[in-house]
Amino acid sequence: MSRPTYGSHRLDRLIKLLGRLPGIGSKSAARIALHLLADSDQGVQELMGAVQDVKDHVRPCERCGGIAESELCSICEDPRRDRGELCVVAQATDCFNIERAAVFQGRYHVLGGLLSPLDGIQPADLNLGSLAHRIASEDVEEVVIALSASVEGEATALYIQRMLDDDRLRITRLATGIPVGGHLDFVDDVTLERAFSGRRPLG
Amino acid sequence: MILERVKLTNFRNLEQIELDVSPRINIFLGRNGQGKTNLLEALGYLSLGRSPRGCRDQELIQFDEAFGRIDLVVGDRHGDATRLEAAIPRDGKKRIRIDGQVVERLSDLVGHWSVVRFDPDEVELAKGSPEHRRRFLDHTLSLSSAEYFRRLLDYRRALAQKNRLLKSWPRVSASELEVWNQELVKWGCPLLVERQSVLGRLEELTARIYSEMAPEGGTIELRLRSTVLPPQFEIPADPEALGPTQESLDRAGDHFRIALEDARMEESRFGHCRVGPHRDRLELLLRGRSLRRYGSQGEMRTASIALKLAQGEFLFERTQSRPAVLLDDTFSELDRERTDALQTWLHQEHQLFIATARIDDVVGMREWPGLRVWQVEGGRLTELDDISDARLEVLREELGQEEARG
Repeated sequence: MSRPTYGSHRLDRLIKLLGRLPGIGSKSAARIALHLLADSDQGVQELMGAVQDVKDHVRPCERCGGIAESELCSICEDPRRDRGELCVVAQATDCFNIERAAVFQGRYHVLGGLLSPLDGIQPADLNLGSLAHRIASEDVEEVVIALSASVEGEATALYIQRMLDDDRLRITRLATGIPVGGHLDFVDDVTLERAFSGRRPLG
Repeated sequence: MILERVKLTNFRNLEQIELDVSPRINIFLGRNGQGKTNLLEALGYLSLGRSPRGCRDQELIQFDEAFGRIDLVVGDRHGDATRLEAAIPRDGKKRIRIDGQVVERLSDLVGHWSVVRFDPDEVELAKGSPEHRRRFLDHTLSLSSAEYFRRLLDYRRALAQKNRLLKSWPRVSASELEVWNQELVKWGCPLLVERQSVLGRLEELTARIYSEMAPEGGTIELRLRSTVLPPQFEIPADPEALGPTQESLDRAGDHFRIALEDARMEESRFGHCRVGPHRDRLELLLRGRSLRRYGSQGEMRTASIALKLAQGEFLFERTQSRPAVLLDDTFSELDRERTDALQTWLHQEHQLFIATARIDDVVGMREWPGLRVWQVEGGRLTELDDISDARLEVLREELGQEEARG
């Protein structure tokens, strides 16, 4: 059975390529392709230019794996950032979420994923070697592990904790618990249990 | 909980179904292959967000359609209605909504709609492998506790990760393996302890129902044979069921770690994890002997039904809400005595959905209050307003059935 086509193999190819993007299914891909087709030449040129520009000038930071336009990212280059604190995240986008909240003054280390043998991701596929190297060479006092509370996130956190086993280094993890503004009614028991075990004295 | 309304779109051979159902007894009558079993499958789907027959989601969508849908309206014991929806695309992930809100975890469904299901293979519960009964135990606990279900899913996830890792033996680092073992212990111990702590109650209920169905038929016992916990592992009696204590979890954790350590060589050879709650087995004993090995066909059938009825009672005790009962062609396999026992139990406040090909089942239940009957033909449903003798005789002709003798 042949797949249905839109009567133009060029359009079909564009839809196929768009459909490979994360979060885009075949229907969305077709919608985007048809939108581009209807868009002005100028609009499409701008988009293509922007994609090319990003490919030419944006790359991973050589130190932390974050997003950079030169050798180092703006955070790694910023002398005001606290060198003693290093926050380990899975993806570069996680840095931006934390930056937006403006709660962390240290620097980041981007792993590039989480341990997941099912997806073929093993320790060697993550930026773990460079993490150990940075800790040895950059006067890091505290490693803050900011990974998701999924099975894979927990396993990765545990792996890092064991890899960095050193009495002089403080290793912390973000707290798990009740969301701010959240109602206790809607918190599931597993989260509530974490919130209880991580409770803190008032004042 | 009571199902009020059901709407199906492109679900197997049921293209478009919309029904207001009876809060008591609903019978779907029709020859085999018309869609009765599919209908019951759709009704059970939203209790844990998957096919109760264990089929893959893609198989549930009507041939050549891009998606299938199930929409239920369920009333709780206070009479408040909840809308449950499943949208199952042919490619991509299914989406489940509760009152219009997308749920991120299937465990969020727990407590909204529970069903106990009897199907023609029911005897397998007693006769089949002990793994079959372990799944039954997991299913029962999942329906009564969202946390159990959630931990079970996380445990399975960690197990799949570890097994994949073992496939690449010997190119596996000990430290990586250790991390996944720790995850197994973390998610698995609550499962082990929870199973142990409910087993006694489930056994009492099963034994009581069994002896009602088969007086002087002997005593049924349930035995959990664990690959992790020793037989003498005791959980301090906790009449208020406040959940597993940390002390029990810690003790289970010690056993689990030792078991994983001991199995290390073996699992490298087999390429999968050999110990843990996923390998535990539930055995049924009758008069102290294995029912599966030494029981008669009739004893196994009775025990299977008793287990399912005990499941319903257990859920009622735990959640204060009676699960609906789905009966797929169940009575035809039973003798008179067991049918009576089953029907007596069903006379309680359960909402029933019965799929049958036999006119006699309708005749037998005609006097029950709140009865509604639909004829199922080629994926379409027609309600029978008239279930008089004359009308049923005409139907009997159509379905080609002889009247039951005796």
